[in-house]
Parts: sequence; structure tokens; C-alpha cells
Amino acid sequence: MVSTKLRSNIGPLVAIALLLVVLLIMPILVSSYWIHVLMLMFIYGILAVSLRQMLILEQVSFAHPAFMAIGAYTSTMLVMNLGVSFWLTIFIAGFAAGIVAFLLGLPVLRLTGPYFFLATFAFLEVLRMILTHYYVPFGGPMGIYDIPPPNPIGPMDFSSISHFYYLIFAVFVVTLLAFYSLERSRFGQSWHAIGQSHVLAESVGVNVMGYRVLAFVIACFFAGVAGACYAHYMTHMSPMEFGLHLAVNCIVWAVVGGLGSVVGPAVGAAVLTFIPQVFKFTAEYEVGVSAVIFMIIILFLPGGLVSLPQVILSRIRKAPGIGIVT
Amino acid sequence: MSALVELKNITVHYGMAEAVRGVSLALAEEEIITLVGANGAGKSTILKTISGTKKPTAGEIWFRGKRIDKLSPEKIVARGIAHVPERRRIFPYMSVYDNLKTGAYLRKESEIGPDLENVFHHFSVIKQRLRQMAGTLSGGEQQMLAMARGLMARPSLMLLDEPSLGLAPLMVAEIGSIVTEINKQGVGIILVEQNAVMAFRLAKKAYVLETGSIVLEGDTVELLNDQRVKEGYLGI
Amino acid sequence: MELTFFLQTLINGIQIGFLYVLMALGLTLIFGIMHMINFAHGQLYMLGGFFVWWLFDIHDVNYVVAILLAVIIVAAIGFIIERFLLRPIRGQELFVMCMTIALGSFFEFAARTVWGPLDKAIPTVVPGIIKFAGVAITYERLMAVIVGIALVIGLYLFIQRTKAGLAMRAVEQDPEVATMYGMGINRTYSLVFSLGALLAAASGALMGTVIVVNPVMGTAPMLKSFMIIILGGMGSIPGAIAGGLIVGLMDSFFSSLFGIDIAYIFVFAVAFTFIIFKPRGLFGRG
Repeated sequence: MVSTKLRSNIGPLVAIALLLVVLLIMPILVSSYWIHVLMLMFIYGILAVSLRQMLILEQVSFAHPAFMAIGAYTSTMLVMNLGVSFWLTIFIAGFAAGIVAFLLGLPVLRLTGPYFFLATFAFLEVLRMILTHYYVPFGGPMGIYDIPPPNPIGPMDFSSISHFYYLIFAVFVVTLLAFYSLERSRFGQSWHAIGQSHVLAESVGVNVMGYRVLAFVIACFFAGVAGACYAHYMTHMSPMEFGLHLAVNCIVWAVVGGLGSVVGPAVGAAVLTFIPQVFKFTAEYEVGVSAVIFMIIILFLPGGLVSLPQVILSRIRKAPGIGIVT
Repeated sequence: MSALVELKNITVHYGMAEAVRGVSLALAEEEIITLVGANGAGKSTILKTISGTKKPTAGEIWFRGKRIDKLSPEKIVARGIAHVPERRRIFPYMSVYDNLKTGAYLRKESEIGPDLENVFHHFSVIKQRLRQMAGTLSGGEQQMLAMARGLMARPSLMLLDEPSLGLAPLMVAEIGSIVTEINKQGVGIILVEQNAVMAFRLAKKAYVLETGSIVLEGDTVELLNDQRVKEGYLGI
Repeated sequence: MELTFFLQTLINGIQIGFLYVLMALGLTLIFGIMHMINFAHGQLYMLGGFFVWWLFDIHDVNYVVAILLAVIIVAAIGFIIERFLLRPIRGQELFVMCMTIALGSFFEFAARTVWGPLDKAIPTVVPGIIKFAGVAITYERLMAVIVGIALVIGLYLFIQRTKAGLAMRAVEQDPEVATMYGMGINRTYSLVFSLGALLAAASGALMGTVIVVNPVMGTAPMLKSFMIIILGGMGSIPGAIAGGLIVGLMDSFFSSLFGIDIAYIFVFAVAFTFIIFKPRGLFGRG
């Protein structure tokens, strides 16, 4: 009994281990351009995976980029104006985003469906406009330039791009692990139950509001952390980058990748960030093609890209004459 | 005696849960029959299968010699079956007049005159409140409006779901006499009720339901003397 | 504030407000009856404007006919969208939202590819300005507002006096019972979405004649429309009208007094407050 279980689990584990190794040695394998693309994939992956936590609850938040911005600006201003170390501000950024999420969540998470969505949308726009309008602390529409890199830690002095790569990769892995363990915990079960029917959950005594706030705070914490990493890597940021476009993208990444698993949205973010790079010459058509692909996925592959292997497998099994006993 | 409507071995599920099992019943032309039983016994579900809003998992439903269990609700009401739902469910933000018009939606505008007259004859209060917003009517008035709306479809079969629910006894009596009048005009009626006393007084035949199955059926006159019925449903 | 300035700002606010009203009406109908937010609404508005330009300026179609055709074409597009892209996923809120987002993105792309990214101006058909009490309105804007008002009245009559309108109201208030009496959801949803598209296109067609037409003209008015229906009450027609006028006026006054940025923040902040404390808006019900 023990040996068969090990055998059935070992396939995916080996694949993951291989993937990890490959990702770790990437800086040696590819040029810094592609390292940059990979880092964006990780950052967007963090956003998409954390947003999924809210999508599971059937609460579509359009405010995710706002929390990324809160994290980014908090960390930047603390480092540049008060000389605080990045290694501290990365956490403060997350907490700042989490606190704002808590304050926003209390009134707003009572709402469901389109009302919640529009409230988060209004919040996004107001925040963005405030960041754009006030030059004095926030740098106005041009944003902030010359954001310093993190202080050196051990062998990493952030003089080369591969140092940033390992930092962001580490944050990405931590994020995945965090959400994986949440998913399997009692919180995860409650969240899924609430997502299925919050009325039903409430009637059996589940503190729906409490769980929603918790999910929101956690999701926005990670968005804030991602924002801090983004700012100190890109060395420049402006409010425009944290707007509608990104909000839509986060949702697209999550849905295209697949909401059924924690890693799904990360896959979506990776694929959708990668494709335009490959098809550079068709840049003008990229938007149209992505839109059509998105529509096709919604209609025919609602489980997202991660569900593709399963769908193919069940098609094969259903085909007559294959004779595989399931 | 040809049946107006007949259910053969109807089974209904809500997801995995079985709500109705193996129910068979029949209504003759211009008869009134009643389904009684406690809350959750499956009575409303059976009405929904007849009007097409809920599809049975097994069994057949015949209306005037044709099968209707696979048809859409629009087609079923077009054939002359009107469903007056539980808790009235009139359209609250519409005038009384507009509510009546929804009942006659599938019919030609020019033909509904006589039906309006008929409705005013049965329900005088409706005529008085024609332009009022339906949501502002009292419970009893709303029940009458719901029945009037059903009549506007010029049905040969009317499905009445718990018309007495939440109404004062005087109102219940009035509704009861209206039901009899409507039946005299030639409309067959399936009456679902928790109030067995009223139901037995109006109907010729009764079916008693418990947890989704028929446990007792027969002429109401006979059933009135049945010990089980007396204790369980008539409170005697 | 001087009187003339006040009056001019007021008039401008009402003009813009009315054109927002048309768009918001479409959005609120779709939301109130189909319970979905149409993120492609802005692009349907844009297509309305573009088709007018294309028919009138490029193909020399009569001005009035061009507007009518443009509106009908976009309504037909709306019908196709509902029937083939929305019906299969009906009820799945997240997917419906994503579908309309994808559609919006696609239409913007299509317009940019077919017609190019630059502004197109629709030549003025009725030149001239009317002046009174120191306030100026172009004839074009005046006509746009008049047509807009006529459409709103027409819509009201349609909903209150026709059978199709009755079905719409019934499906909104109780879809299950509506189906019981023959007012099927499929047909009603098709009608509602096409009608919503028609209104957006009409707004775009009328606006296009007053300002310019370009592929990105739809996004900002759509966002404003969201705010309008929040203020007015999602699913409420009087709400859309009141909300549109209020937002038009707020826009006009705040922009003149404090600048566009502050006006923007203000409108969104007000909408946000409404969502939290009065989610039904001014006129919403249920």
C-alpha cells in the first residue's frame, strides 16, 4: 500500500523539482532580457494567485493594483525619505496594504457581486487619482524615479539582475506555499463553502464576514509585497502602472490560468506574459488575438489552462475503442 | 371518464435529494381535486412539474391526451394550464391592470375584453384597484389578483398553490367560494393546501402526501370519515 | 460666481448629462433585468459613433439615415453577442464579466485596426450657434439633446405601453413567474441586451457628431455610466436619468471650478460613498 501511493505521487513531485531546478539556474541559461520577463511573470503571478483568493469567494476585486501601489509607494517612501531598510519595508508594505484592506473591507465586503466590484473599482480610481494629483509626497503623474535597490544581504548586492531574480523568485515561491497551505487548511474549506453559497454557509453558523475580511487582508498583503518588490526592481514607477489595465489583467490571468488550483492563476500570468514576447512581430494583433483566445477559453475551457490535461485525458477515455479502464 | 390531466409515476429530484416519488394522479374535466400534506411534502413541486417550471426526473404527464412533461412553461401555459404560485407572487412594481395583462400575455390584445369582465365579476375589489401598484395591496387582495391573473390566461386547468396561506378566515371563505364559482365555469382545478378543512370542502377527490409519496387517496366524502385523516389533518 | 458663467456651466452640464443618460439607461436596463454589468458598453457606444462617421463621411449616406443605420447595426451586434456568447454562460457572473471585458477589448482593437487610431471628425450638418442670456449652445448640441430626450420618452413609452415592455418588467420582478405565463427569459434577454446596445450606440452616434470619434472614446463615458447607475440606482430608469443629469452637472461645475482631476476624484468618491451607505442609489428598489 505504501509503495503504490508513493509511486502515484512521485510523478508530479519530480516534475515540480525539475521545474524548480531549471528556474534556479535560469540566470545562467538565458539573457537578462528573458530574466526580466521571468521576473514580471513572477510578480504578476503573485498578484493573480492572491486575487484568486477573492475570486473563490465570488467577490471580484478590481482594487488589486491599488494595493500593489500602496505597497510600492509605502516601501519607496520609507526607504527614500526615512532611510529604512528594504528588508523591513517589504513587510511594512505588506502590512500597510493589509491594514488598508481591513479598513476598506469592513464596509465593502458586506456587498456582493456587482456592488462589491464597483466599490473596489471606485476605490482604485480614487487612489490612482490621488497619487496622480499630489506631486508633493507621491511624485504626481510622473511618479518616483531613482528608487534604490535593497541593501546588500550576504553575497547579494543587487548590482546584477540575477540578484533581483532570486529575490523575486523566492517571494513568488513563498506566496505559492502560503496559499497552498491556506487552501488545504480549515480556512480554505470555509472559503470554498462561502464561495459556493454564502447564504448556506451563514445558515450553518459560519462567520462569513470574518472569513471574507481575512481573505481580503491576506490577498492584499501579498499584493503589497509584490508592489514593493516591483518598485525597488524597476527603480521607477508611476500611478498609471497601477490602473484599470492591470486590474483587468489580474482577472484575465486568473481565469485563463484556471481558478481550480492555487497555481492556476500563476500559469495564466506566465502564459499571457510570455506570448506577446514570442509573437513580437504581430504586436498590433496581440490584443485582438488575446481577446478571442480569452473568449474561447471562457466558452470551451472554463477550468482554465490548468484543466487542459484533464479535459484531454477524459476526451481520450471517452473515445470508443481505447479501452482504458478508469 | 377522460382525464383532463394525468400524472403517471412522477419522481422529482432537487440535485441529489428526492422530493417526490412515484406520484400518480388524475383529474377529470371540470373537477376539483386537492393535494394535502404538511410543509415540504412535495405538493408545490408536483404543481411545478405540471406547469413546466421544474422537470421531473422520471414519469409522464399527460394533458388532454398529449404528453407535456418535456415542454417549456411557455408552451404549457399556451395549452391552457395556469399556475397560481405559492405566496401569490404578483408583480409588485406593476399596476393591478398590468398584472392582469401578464396573465393574458400569450393571447391577442383584442380578445381579452371578456376575460377582464369575467375577472371583475369574480373579484370586485380588483376593478376598484385597477391602477394601484400591486405591491400595495393587502394579502387577501394579492391572492385574488394572483388568481385573476391566472384566469386571464383562459385556462382549462388551474393550479392553485396554497391560496389560504396567511389569510384571515373570512378571506379564506371568500376565496373558497370564488374557487367554486370558477370551477362552475368549466375550469378544472388542482388545489394544493395545508388547510385540509377548506380543501376537503371544495374538492371532490383528495390525495394525501407525506414526504413525497401519496399515502392516501379517494373521494373527499369518504376520506372525511377516515380515522387517519381525521387525526392527522383535520384535528379531530 | 458670475451669472453667465454659472448659466453656461449649467447648460453644458445638462447637455453632457443627457448624453450620459442614454448610455446609462442602456447599462441600467441590462443590469436591472439581466443582472450583469456590460463591460462592452463603452465600445458599443464607440461603434455607434464610428458607424455614423463611416456611413456619413465615407459613404455619403444621408445624415439621419446614417444615424439610424448605425444604431440598428450595433443593436444587431448586441443581439448576436447575447445569443451566442452570453447565453451559454448565463448565470456564471465571473465568466459573463470576463466575456464582456474581452468583447470590449476586441471591439476597441477592431476599430483601431479597421479605421485607424486617429480622431475622426464628423462634419457639421447644422452649423450655427444659438445665444441667449450670454450663454451659447451650438445647434448641433441642441439637436443632440432633443433627440436624446425623444429617445428617453420613446423608451419610457415602450416599456410602459407595449407587450414587450411588459415582459421586460415582469422578468425583472419575478423571472420564474414570468416564465410561467409565457414571458420567456430567452426572448426577453435578447431584447434587453439589444436595446441596451441600441441606447449606447445612439449615445455614441449623437456624441460623435458633437465631438470627435476615435477607438478609445468609449472607456471614459462607460466609467462615468457606472458611477451614474450607482448614484441613481442600478436597474432604475428614473435613477439613470437623475444620475446622468447630476453627474453631468457635477462634472461641469467641478471641472470649471477645480479642474478635471478633482472633478474625477469627487465623482468617484461620491459613488463610493453611495455604494457603501446607499447601494440601492437614489431610486433603486428591491
